Amino acid sequence: MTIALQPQLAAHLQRHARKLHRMACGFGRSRDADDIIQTLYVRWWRRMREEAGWSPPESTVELFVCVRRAAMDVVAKEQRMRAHTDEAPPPTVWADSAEESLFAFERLQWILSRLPSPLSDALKASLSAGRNADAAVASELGLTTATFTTRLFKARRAAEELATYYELLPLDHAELLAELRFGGKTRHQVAHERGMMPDELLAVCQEAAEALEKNRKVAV
Amino acid sequence: MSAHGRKRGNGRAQLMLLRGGLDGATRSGAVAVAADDADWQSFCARIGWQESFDVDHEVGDDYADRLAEKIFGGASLDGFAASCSTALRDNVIELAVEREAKATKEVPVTASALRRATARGALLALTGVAAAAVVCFFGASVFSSAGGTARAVPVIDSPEPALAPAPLVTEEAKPLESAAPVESASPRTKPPGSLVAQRSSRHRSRGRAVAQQLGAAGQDHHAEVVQTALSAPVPLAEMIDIRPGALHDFDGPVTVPDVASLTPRHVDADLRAATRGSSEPVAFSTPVTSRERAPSPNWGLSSASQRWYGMGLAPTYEPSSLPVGMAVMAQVDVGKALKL
Repeated sequence: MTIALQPQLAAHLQRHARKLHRMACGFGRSRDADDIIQTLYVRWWRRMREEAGWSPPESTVELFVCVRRAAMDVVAKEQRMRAHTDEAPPPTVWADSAEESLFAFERLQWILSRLPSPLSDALKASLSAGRNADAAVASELGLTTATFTTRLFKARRAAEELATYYELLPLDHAELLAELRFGGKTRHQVAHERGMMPDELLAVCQEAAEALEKNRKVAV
Repeated sequence: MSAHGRKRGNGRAQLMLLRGGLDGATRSGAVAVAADDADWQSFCARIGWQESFDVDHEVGDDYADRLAEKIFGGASLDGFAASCSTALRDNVIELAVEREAKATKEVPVTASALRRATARGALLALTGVAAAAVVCFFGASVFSSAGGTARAVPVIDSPEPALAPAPLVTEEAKPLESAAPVESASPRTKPPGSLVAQRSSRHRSRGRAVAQQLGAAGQDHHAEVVQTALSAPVPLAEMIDIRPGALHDFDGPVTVPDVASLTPRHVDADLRAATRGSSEPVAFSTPVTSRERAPSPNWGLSSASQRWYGMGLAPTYEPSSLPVGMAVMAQVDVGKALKL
């Protein structure tokens, strides 16, 4: 590693190692959390070398996005390997990898990508920093603690609702409801984007709502 | 415990003790925190986030130090950095690793070794193309001065398909062949250094030509890589066999012909002897290591693989701009260069 870049990255690592590790574990990658962090630093080192003046991200939300990207790469690689060796018995290295780890990761991706941006940022920051760091996270986001707490509360409710859609509905219905509920668009806009008539969209929405209610009762 | 106040009825003060509630508050607060934690945990599990309150305890207090040691002090990233000292190598690594992974699935090599080996080897192969061009010019000059036919690289002219597997080399050879007589027609009475200057300029232009060919084939990125590689100096000591079967010997000793010991007088003789009466290239299975004289022709096709060409030559005379005894040695994996 270039000597001039190493102290900067080492200091960055000292500041954020635990946070990065917590994020990697949160994404279900506790087994290879260190590898993910190392991958991140290699990428940052290359970027710093190629772009003079660039420095690694410092904010929690940016770090969250970086770790998520690295975790996505690992997950994609695992999925490719799994596809190649579909007939073969699963190797021992996957014994603790857990299928649900991949499903959980996909679910988190789906939910976070459909939350409104302010709510998504608040939730990402809170997940990354942990429950006891609300004040620090609020300060980092430039919010008062009260505003952050309110935003986080809304984000939690929205995320739970999205999780319900994800769990209980077919994916197309879930996406439709999520778009209508949190996409910030009118029904006419959504219908136009999907190439549907408003009445048609309304019928699909009603169908999805009924399915949601029915599945919810079954789940309870 | 707290004092409630005084009862002023009969003038006597009475102290009443009431429950302060601090203990109860502590208990209920702890319960509330625990409930909140449980609620948070269930929320995290629901959205797919695997929250763990024990992460900080699990990793230990010196986690950052250990991780820093692993990343910055360990061999893994150092090796990576050593193999990626230029942006070119970064690009070549990705291409080479993907290609090698597809082509040599049966070769039990580690990813890092493969990465280092293929990156360095691909770079060497590219640079070898340029160096081979210079060598060809040397050869053309040598043969023309000896009155022989202008066949600087017999391997390329060989009619045997096995000996000429690379279309790019054939395309490269054509302009060489046409250029060789012109080169041989030039008198040797030119001032020292002028021919070297011409060769140098042609070398550069050939590098651009290779890059343009690749770029015209829709491989702009590869053309850029080639262009960059041609300008990158590579020490001879790094010219090693990177074929998949030889990856295990990657760190072994490298035998480089001591071309400094060659003189123009016996270079001509060696080349003529090597090509006389046959178009078969001569394998350099016995590396030239003697400083006195080359015991065997110091150019040809490797006996181990038909993909590998090597040549070592000294200039026909000592130009004033170059130190005495300077020569050129090149080794090129044509197949690998073609794939790029």
